[in-house]
Amino acid sequence: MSQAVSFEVDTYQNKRWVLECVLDEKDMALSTAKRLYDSKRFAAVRVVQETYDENSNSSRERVIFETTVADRDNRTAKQNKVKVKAGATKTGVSRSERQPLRKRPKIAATKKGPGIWVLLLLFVIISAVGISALVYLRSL
Amino acid sequence: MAEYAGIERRLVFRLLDYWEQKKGERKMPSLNDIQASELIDDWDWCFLISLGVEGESAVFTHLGSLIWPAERASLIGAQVSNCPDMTLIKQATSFMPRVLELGVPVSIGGECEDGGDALLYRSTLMPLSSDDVFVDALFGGANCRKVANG
Repeated sequence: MSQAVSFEVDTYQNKRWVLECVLDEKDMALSTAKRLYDSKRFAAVRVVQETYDENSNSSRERVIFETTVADRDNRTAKQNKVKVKAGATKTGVSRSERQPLRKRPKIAATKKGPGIWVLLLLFVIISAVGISALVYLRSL
Repeated sequence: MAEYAGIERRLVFRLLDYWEQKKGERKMPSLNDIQASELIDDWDWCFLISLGVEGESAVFTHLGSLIWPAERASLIGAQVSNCPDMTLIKQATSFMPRVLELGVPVSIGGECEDGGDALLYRSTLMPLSSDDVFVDALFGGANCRKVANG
């Protein structure tokens, strides 16, 4: 069995696929396709694997990589989103988007046991009773 | 090192970039667009082929010293079909009919022998045209490394 494999890099121009180059190595073809796509001159790119069978004198084609206009739009939108996020981190939210600061709502103090004034009053009363008792005992 | 935007690791990529850059909005660049001064060191790995009327007599007009050493008999002006077997330049031009048929760059790699050495090579061959219709020249390049024995 004798098969020859090659990879065709195509670009999409004027509503049709145009052959750009032919390579015998998949990685190189993919890399070439991506570089062409990144040049932003083409709506889409693809890599077609062509397997030629010498015995049957026939070839088989299969698309192994393809980008679309939608891919570019999605990628651009994603990049813009990341840029906006990065901008927000650096410069803060613009004034118009900023929410007015709200005061923390007062939480009603819940009474857990007697208050400080009650305790102080009790202390004063106990002290007064104690002192009075001491004075009385001394006077006996 | 050649000065291209975004230098690529491989010679073939650099040459494809160069060809693409020279092509611009055309289908392919012309022979006059290929300048040794722009290719700098890579020029020694490059070769140029001029195609005669109807592409029948393809002859070398440039052969870089690294692809065809200067101590060998010059092939400038020689027919491509007459270049010696078991050489890198033979391999690098073996797919010339395919480039003429498709009218686009073709890159092929593999193993070959040259001067008794086993080599791993990668080559590319790109069409050139003075009228952007008929291919009247070819621009090629190839580099290689020796295969280590055992």
